[in-house]
Amino acid sequence: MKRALVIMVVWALFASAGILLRNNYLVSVATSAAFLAVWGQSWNVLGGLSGNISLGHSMFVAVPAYVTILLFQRADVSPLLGALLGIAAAVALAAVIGAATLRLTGPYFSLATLAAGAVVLSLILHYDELTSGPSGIPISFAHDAPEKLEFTNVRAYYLIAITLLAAVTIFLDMIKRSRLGYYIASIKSSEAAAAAAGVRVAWVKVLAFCLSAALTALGGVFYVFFIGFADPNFLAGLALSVKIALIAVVGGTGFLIGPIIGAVFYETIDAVANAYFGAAGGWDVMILGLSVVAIVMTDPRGLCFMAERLWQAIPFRPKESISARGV
Amino acid sequence: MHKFLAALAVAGAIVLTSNAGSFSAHAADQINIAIIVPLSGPNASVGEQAVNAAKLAVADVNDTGGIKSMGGAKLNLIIADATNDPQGAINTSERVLSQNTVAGAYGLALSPLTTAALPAFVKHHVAVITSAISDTLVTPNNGGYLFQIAPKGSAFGNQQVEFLKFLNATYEMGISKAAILYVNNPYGIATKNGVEQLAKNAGLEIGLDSAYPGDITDASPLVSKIEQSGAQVLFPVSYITDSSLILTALRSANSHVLVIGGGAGFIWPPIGKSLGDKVNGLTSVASWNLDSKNVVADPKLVDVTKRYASAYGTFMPEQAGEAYAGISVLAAAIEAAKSDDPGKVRDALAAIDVKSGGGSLMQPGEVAFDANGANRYVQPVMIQWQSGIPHTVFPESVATSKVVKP
Amino acid sequence: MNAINVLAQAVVNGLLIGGVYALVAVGLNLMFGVMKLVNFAHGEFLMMGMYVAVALAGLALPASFIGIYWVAVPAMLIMAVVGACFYLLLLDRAAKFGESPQILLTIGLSIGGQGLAQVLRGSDFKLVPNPINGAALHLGSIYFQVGPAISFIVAIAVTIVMAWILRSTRFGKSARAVAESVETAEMLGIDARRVYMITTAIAIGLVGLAGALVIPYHFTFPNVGQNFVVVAFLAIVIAGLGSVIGAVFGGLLLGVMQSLTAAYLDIDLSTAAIYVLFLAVLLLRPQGLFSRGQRTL
Repeated sequence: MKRALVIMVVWALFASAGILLRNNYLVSVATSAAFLAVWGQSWNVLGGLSGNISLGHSMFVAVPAYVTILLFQRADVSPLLGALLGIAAAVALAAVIGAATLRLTGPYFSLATLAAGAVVLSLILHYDELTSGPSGIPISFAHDAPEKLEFTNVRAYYLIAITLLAAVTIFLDMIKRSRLGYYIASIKSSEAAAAAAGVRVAWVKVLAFCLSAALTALGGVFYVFFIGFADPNFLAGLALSVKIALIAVVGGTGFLIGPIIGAVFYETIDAVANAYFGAAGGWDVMILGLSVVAIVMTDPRGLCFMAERLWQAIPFRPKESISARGV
Repeated sequence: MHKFLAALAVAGAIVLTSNAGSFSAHAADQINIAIIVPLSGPNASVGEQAVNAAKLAVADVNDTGGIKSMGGAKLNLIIADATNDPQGAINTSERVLSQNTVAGAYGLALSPLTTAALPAFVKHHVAVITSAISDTLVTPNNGGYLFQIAPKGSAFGNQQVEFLKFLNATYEMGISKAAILYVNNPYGIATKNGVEQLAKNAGLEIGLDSAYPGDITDASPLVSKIEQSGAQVLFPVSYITDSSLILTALRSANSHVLVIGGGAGFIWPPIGKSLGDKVNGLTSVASWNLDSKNVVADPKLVDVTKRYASAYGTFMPEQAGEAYAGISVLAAAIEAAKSDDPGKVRDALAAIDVKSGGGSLMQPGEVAFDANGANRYVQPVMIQWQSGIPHTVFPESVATSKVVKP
Repeated sequence: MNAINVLAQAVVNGLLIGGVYALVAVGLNLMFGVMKLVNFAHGEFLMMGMYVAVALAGLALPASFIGIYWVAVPAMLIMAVVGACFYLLLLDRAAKFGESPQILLTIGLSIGGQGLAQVLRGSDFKLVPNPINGAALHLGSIYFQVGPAISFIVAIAVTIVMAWILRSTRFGKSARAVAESVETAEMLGIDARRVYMITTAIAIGLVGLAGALVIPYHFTFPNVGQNFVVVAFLAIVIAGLGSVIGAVFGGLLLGVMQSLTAAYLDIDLSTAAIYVLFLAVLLLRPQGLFSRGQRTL
């Protein structure tokens, strides 16, 4: 409960900051970072809790986004309803993939999700009468229309994104402490022992996958209205999937806010490198990649653990409590 | 405690990013224009061509007195990397437009990036001149800030068919069956739509109409399909790697199919390097070529192409020509607007009619935009590689060389 | 073109491109079998091998068959040294990390490597002029593109050599022991770290060789590795992680699959088809087609 409170306070701080800040660019970058963090947190249900590295998560962004937009543009279905259907579609997809990959672990699992994601992208590109293929679907609007998820002020999407982020984080915290969370963790620790103890391993695995997909989808449906353009190569691409996994692991999958830190880190380096070195051709990409390498080599558990080590290395820091030192 | 550190990290991130980029405020004797094109990733070479030419164009404007209607103010070119994906394009555009007072811009080279970033330009009231060819960019509801200096994608395909008709007539080739292979992206789709549009009227039967993924490593299956279709002419729309793979696979298979390229990979310098003198005879459509009639007729323009070649070690390629013209047109608009207020520059662009100077590099030598932002007068040209350089051979109005029977 | 010809040509095309996939996959699978590490930066080492070969080709001999192929061995050796450094500087320490950080490390290296290549060598597409590009041998109505054919032959030769190395040399036996169980191997006096280093050197050397073989007919540019590497990942899983010979068959199989689906189905589905094949193998026979359960190499 206390954690939830802290999260809500931080949310309030960031919400007001975003509203007050005049700099549209910053708000825009913060929004994309927040969405990325939402996906990172969702991914972490699998990656952190259950130890499976998914490299195909972008399909859970693309499929709900497309379902929402297509239903809206072709069948006049309200985006809010369309979003629900889109999330349901993502969950269905996750159930199928989760069930199929039950026996896979480690790199086998990762490559299977990568392949599944690639198939989804191929299908979106191929069935272009339905999806507009590689040209994508632009969502242009000149006026606010909240029921259509269309806002002209980027701050609306910013608030949506950080609210989602706060909600997902609190939800994640609850899951970790819940029975489901313990089941998931027990499977990660030892599948055989968990099964012996009566955990319904298959169900839990698929459930974790569906949960992860649902949360990702939630971010995805709002995100596509934020960028105003559904580009399949981007939304369903390997690059986005890798990015989601990357920020979660760079931040630290073992920390509740790990993926958030990872997302902030990544977007900051990306923005700064692009701003200062973008014109120089390749430097921005190089700096991004090599900083990831540097972080992993410094502390493979991620930025949060690095920060913790730094914090504990500070001399003359007030210690926790005397009784804890065993006086 | 962790949350505190986290908040600290985020605060630090905010400080860093907010100071990112060059602050170019409203200096009295300097006018900012921006070029936002991919400078990293697989399309970096395209972006680089544009930036090279843009730098040349800006230097030429500044060296001949700057913007005279504003007291000789110099143009300051802000260069930014549009990256490879829409989110990056939006972020970069938003950054450049928020942190600088920009009179006008050139970008983003690729249709998906331009489509994604356009709302940012509309929001900041900054006009953007683009070499992206998608037809959907120049529709009535695009906000009024997009100006497409290149021909529309469908016009490419149209011109390819017209050229085939010309060849059929001139050399009595009797070609009646075509194959279309196109890279699966908006550029490929727009061009192939253009081919399909005219093919029927030209009496062409389309035996094969197939998209392929841009990152193929082997074009032999494509060639197999072409052979199976019995096509006598191939209209391929490809980028650099795939165009080379297709052409070499056709040669390996001893294919006799006539190739009329769809631009991009078939006209940029790398294909010349790949095929050596076997590239001679290859024909293709192009947005722009360095020896069209309008260029050759003006010694200053010829000089531009020569200076590009000596500065960058290669003949002036298509994307460079378009960028040079685009930046020059932008400068002309600023000149006409007598102001660097982006809204006024936009209005000037909408009304402008460029008949001389750098803007007239774009064939047929005159540039003006219609109500949707499309270039009124431009038509794609057909080129044929001769002696290792693309020469303009069709249509009559722009040709300076004769077609050698392919 | 009759149906048999179409089929035969498709198979030939698939085998030839499969040869390159195979060569890339062999090194990848070696690293995975021995070190349990999936190197997501493998494509960037292919790219680096290509740049090294292009640089060497520019130096010495004129544009000719010898002029373009003499670089293969030096490029391979240079890349082997690069591989050893890669191990000593990064992988040695990363061995103790978990799976996620290792994957992340190689992903970061992949991204950074592409940027680095652009910074150092520019974004332009390089191809050294040579007589191989576009040349083909004809056997009846089937044609064999010379460049890919040579890659194929080398790939098979390399496989045979690798198989021999693994079976008969001391290194090979040590590598197989380590692949089976590190603890047991060390107990028997095998220096695991030395094995790892040599394994990495061989793997990177092989992918460097693949790069050198490809430069006559494929452009060299910073992102080129991405076009080849994903298929290699699929190939090693289909083969059975750790099976070096299997990796070759996996590469060839995927090449043929890609070619057949492109020839008979919609071309843009050919990549999807490979992924579907991959998933089918993974789900039905997760240990791969060529690993016989127990054998790890």
